[in-house]
Amino acid sequence: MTVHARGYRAYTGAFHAPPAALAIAREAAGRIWKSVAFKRISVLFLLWFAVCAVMLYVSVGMGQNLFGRLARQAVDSDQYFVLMLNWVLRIFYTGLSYLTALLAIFVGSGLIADDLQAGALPLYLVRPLRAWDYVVGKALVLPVMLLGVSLLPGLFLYLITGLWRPPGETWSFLGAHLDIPLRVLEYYLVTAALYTGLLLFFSSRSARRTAVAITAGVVIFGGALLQGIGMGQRVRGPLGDAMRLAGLPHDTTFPFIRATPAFGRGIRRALYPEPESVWILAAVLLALGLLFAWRRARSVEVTS
Amino acid sequence: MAVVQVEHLTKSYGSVLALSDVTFQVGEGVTGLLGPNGAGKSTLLLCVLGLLPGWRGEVQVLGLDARRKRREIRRHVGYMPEMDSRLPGTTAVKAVRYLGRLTGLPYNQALRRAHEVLWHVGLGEAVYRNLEEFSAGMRQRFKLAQALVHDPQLLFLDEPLGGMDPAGRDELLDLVRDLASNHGKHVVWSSHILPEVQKVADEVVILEQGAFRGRFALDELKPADHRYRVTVDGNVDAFVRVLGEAGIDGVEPDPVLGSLDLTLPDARDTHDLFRLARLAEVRLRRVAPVGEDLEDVFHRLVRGDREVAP
Repeated sequence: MTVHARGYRAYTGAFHAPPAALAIAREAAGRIWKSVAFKRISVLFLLWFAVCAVMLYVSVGMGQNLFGRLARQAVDSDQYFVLMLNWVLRIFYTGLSYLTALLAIFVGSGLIADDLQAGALPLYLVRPLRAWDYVVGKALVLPVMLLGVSLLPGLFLYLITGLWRPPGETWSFLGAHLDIPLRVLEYYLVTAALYTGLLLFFSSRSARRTAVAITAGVVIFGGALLQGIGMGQRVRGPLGDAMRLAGLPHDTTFPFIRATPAFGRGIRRALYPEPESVWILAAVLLALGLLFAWRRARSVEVTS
Repeated sequence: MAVVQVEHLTKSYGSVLALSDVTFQVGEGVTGLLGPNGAGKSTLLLCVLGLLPGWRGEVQVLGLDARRKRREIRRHVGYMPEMDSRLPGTTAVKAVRYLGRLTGLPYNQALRRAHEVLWHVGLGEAVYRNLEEFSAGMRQRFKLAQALVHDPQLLFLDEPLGGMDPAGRDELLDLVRDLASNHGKHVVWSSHILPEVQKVADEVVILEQGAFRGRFALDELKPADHRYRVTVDGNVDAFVRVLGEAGIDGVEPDPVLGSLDLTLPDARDTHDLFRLARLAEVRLRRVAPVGEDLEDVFHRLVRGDREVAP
């Protein structure tokens, strides 16, 4: 007997609601994960990670011997490893910040816009969930995707550096430099907050994913251009501060810039935004994004 | 029992008054929410479901306060929106399963229910097809399936037959009638198309320009007093005389139409009219029950000639 032939059947099972926000985040992340575009972007991430991992291997292995011979003296191995790890992490996350911006635009632009275009909002909101569940679910998607491409690779480089230490020194090395994974975590949190806020804001303002992606791209990469001009021209005062803060990809790398000692002519740290201002910017953008997404999810008035 | 109770419901979109002090009850079974385009039917449903903010008045759904018990109400109701609604980039079964999960069904049960309801609404062959590939009629069926996935007590269907072909319309009408008659579901069927409401509904609520115009059971439209309109070919006076001799009183001739309105006693039926016509040597061209149909009542109420008691 086919299912259809049985006619309508009442549901007699139990109701056991999973946290709605997690279910929403899981569905959205799963859909993105299966998309071809995400797989292509992931290849870029993987390549960049492989390049940096090789760079680290070469630096802490062959580089140590070469540097020691050139300096004609014994090199403090622990310090050298930390120096190289910080250097590679800075390069890795500087490059990653632009890839992350691309990923954020791809993942975030359709978060709410796709639902608006498909008229999905009434289907969500007529379920026993709050508008906040919907918003938090959507807001979790980008941080979940960034876990794999930003947090875990940094932690992996840190761990692998510890494993390359002579036998017996691995745990002492890792324990002595816990500031490094904390910096990776700091980068991850700032990036997730900045881009989640920005993309939620734009995605809840339009029902067209392309329009959201273009607007976010202009803001992110246009801001990076402004930052470059501000730093190059050494613009001072509030305008200079604002211009330096406008480049979101570069802003997110502040934990590594702060931790890397000066090479050659040195890094003009004064030209970079202060960590506090980056945190404030991230918090403000996240709050704005959540607020506007919540306002959109509170009612189907606009879409109906 | 009142399934939905609306009291003094008022809702504005800016300066536009969409619903004005609307008060009525929806009983068990299928209720047609009828009104011309822009009457406020969809707005009313969205207010009742708590999907629109800023309305005034009191609304109870299944005995629960629509303002305070919104989430509990939503566990027991299904909603089929008028607008084209789907989940982007997913198949029918995944979408229905996911929406079932959000309503509280465990994963396996949600998957089973998704298959069952999709089969039930006639999408059995399309469960693994992407929703973007669906035709207008299939999308309507999908919307009904997602409304049914958690087996709600009450269904709100907003223009459910929009974009469907005639066969599909009949199928969906039968399906909803079956849900109400055999599975105890209460249905609010919002539409501006009178024949479909007449086919499916037990009672009708009429809205127009955001105001309540009337509520009545469709049974009331049937000629309960055995009154008929008879069109006669021949000597009308002779036929009236024969009718009087046979004890059929209350005959009202209409000289303009050439017809008679009469009331048959309980002991007689329409066959007696033909027998009496033969006696009077006249022919009956038409015998039809006298009574308003839904269209008559709708037009009368929408024109505001006379109120029907709520």
